[in-house]
Amino acid sequence: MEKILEVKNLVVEYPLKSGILDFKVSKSGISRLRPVVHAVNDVSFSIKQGEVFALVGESGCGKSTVAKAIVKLIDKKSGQILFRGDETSAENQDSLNEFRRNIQMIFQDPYSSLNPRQKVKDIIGEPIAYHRIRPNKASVLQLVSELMEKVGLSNEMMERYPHQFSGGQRQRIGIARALSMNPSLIIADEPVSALDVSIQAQILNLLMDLKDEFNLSILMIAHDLSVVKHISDRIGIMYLGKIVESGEKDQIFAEPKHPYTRALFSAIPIIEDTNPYDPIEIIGEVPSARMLPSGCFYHTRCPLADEKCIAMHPELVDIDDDHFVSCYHWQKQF
Amino acid sequence: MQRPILEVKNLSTTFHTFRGVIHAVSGVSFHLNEGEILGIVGESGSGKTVANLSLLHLVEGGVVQADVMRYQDIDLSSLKEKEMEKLRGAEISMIFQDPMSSLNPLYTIGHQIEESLKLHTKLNRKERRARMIDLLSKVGISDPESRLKSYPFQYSGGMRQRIIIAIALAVNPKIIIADEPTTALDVTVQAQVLRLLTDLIHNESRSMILITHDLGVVSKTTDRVVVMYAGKAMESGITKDVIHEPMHPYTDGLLRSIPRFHENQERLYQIPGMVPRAYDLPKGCRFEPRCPKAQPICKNEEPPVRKMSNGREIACFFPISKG
Ligand SMILES: Nc1ncnc2c1ncn2[C@@H]1O[C@H](COP(=O)(O)OP(=O)(O)OP(=O)(O)O)[C@@H](O)[C@H]1O
Ligand SMILES: Nc1ncnc2c1ncn2[C@@H]1O[C@H](COP(=O)(O)OP(=O)(O)OP(=O)(O)O)[C@@H](O)[C@H]1O
Ligand SMILES: [Mg+2]
Ligand SMILES: [Mg+2]
Repeated sequence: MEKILEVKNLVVEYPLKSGILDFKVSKSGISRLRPVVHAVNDVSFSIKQGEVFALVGESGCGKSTVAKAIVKLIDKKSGQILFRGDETSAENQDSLNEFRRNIQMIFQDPYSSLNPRQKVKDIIGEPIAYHRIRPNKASVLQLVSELMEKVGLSNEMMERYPHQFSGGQRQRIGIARALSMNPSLIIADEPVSALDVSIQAQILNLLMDLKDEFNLSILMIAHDLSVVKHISDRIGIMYLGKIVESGEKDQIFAEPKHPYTRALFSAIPIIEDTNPYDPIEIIGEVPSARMLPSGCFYHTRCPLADEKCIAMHPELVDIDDDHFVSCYHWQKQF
Repeated sequence: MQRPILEVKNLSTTFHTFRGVIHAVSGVSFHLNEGEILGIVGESGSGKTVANLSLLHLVEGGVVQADVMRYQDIDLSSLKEKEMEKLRGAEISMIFQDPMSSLNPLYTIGHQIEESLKLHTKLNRKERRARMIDLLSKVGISDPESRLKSYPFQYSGGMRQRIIIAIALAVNPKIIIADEPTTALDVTVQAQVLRLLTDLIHNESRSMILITHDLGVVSKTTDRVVVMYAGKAMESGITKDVIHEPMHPYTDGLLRSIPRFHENQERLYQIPGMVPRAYDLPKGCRFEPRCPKAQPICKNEEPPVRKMSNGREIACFFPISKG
């Protein structure tokens, strides 16, 4: 299958205002640190045509930053983002427009991501007119109405404003707007986190249907692992701006190898049954993304950590047919 | 069997707004046994928070009515504001839904816990300090002595939630009402906080009401559960029974719409339709417009609460039977 998106060694930093504590004392004297948040630290993954790739990990680990860097909402420090094998330069306006049309984003918060003063027909219709996807007003409206039907909203809702919709309906409006661009990749950043379970099921089903119908690729960002297990084909687990494990969903859920993945899985509240993973309690807190630990970023909380882990960062290595793990001790039991 | 420590019968809370009357809670009954954790689940807007705020006289601008609202031997509805305030501080502690707003950013954590101790206990300065250190270590905060001097922003989300639990425990309450205490937290931190809360309840024979919309949390943490929908209790009973053999079609639909961890499902079940608007509720059963089992009677009459075996109660004319 064709790779639709490749992210290679992506690094993103956020600058911070400097404060008086940003000095480092070393043998050579006192030096000034450039205060930054190391949000994404060397992330690589790829998404194939028609595939759902899920990025999971706890709050602040850099998932949204990866998404924003892909759609060029923020600048990357280094690394490559290849769409169908090519890097899109920000200079070439035409190719940038084409890139922007091809990759659409659905946001977490269906309440604030829609302009409250715009009618639904304009929320969905405006980008269609801007990108000249349809030639005239009447045909734009025609497409709006088709898209609304596709996502399960009725035509007469076109004249309404966002506040007249429920959360699930608003999320559908966002999806219709994304689909209007006829994208090849949809990035869904926590699309169901703000929704109740009964509405969550509607949106997840809708995304799966659309994927099948249009052979869409989806980058799904989520923290609910039952949702991730249901919807994705492959997953990447992030910790402090790095992917610590990635691979086929079934394989990772069957045999999680990284100590962080194992701890994460053992905390999933599974309704039907007891959690099948060995109970592992994570100790301590996530270190700050301003001051990254040495070596393996997880060593400060890992029960298996030794001197090597403190000194050196383990590479992400393929341990078995596209199952990547970044850990010196992935073969060890607890 | 022992008499429940808290009992509510036929609680109704309404708000009169310019759009009309909102029946936030309509005729809900539940009880809390000593030493148990009772879960209250339901979708956003189903009345979980308002029902509990009503007990503690904390609803603003609403009218609260009930046949019974009893804590131990105290009739809660007859309490004067002063007496209620005392009870809230000492016997029933509430952990509010929005954790960040319950800590004052301008004061140290130590100051905030101490204020509560000053107000509700007779401990002297030294004793208060000892109690605070004890509390912080109990909720799993290392190096409590120096941590007392920190401000809220110097703590992570998970630690702040522990502090809020510590404040709720400071006065040694008999009952803790925790409103979505882990919703803002990551799964691993959520697991830690829930383990902490359950240990504190079970080891020290307190009782707790846990309000949440997360059925996973309910199934792992609670002994009994009440399922609410549009201001009504649809079903209640022992958590295991309700989760494994739901009898109300709404509970059944809710459970079926969650991705199952051990199965590979093609599609998720969807409850058809939408939650009714709070000021425009169906006349009969509130779930009738969306219910796959609805009959004509469901449209016209509200189903009474039926008592089944094993303490189960359901408000449905046509419950799902076993098998
Ligand atoms: N505009 C910003 N300026 C400075 N730091 C930021 C900014 N946005 C995010 N960060 C920091 O970058 C890191 C990664 O944030 P990001 O939003 O990508 O995380 P996330 O994995 O999406 O988390 P969540 O699950 O909470 O949405 C965090 O430490 C965050 O505090
Ligand atoms: N002060 C108020 N004035 C008017 N209506 C209110 C007020 N407080 C709550 N309501 C309404 O009462 C109903 C029940 O609200 P409640 O906060 O109890 O829901 P909940 O089940 O706790 O939901 P959530 O899961 O979103 O916290 C809702 O329709 C809400 O809009
Ligand atoms: Mg995010
Ligand atoms: Mg609430």
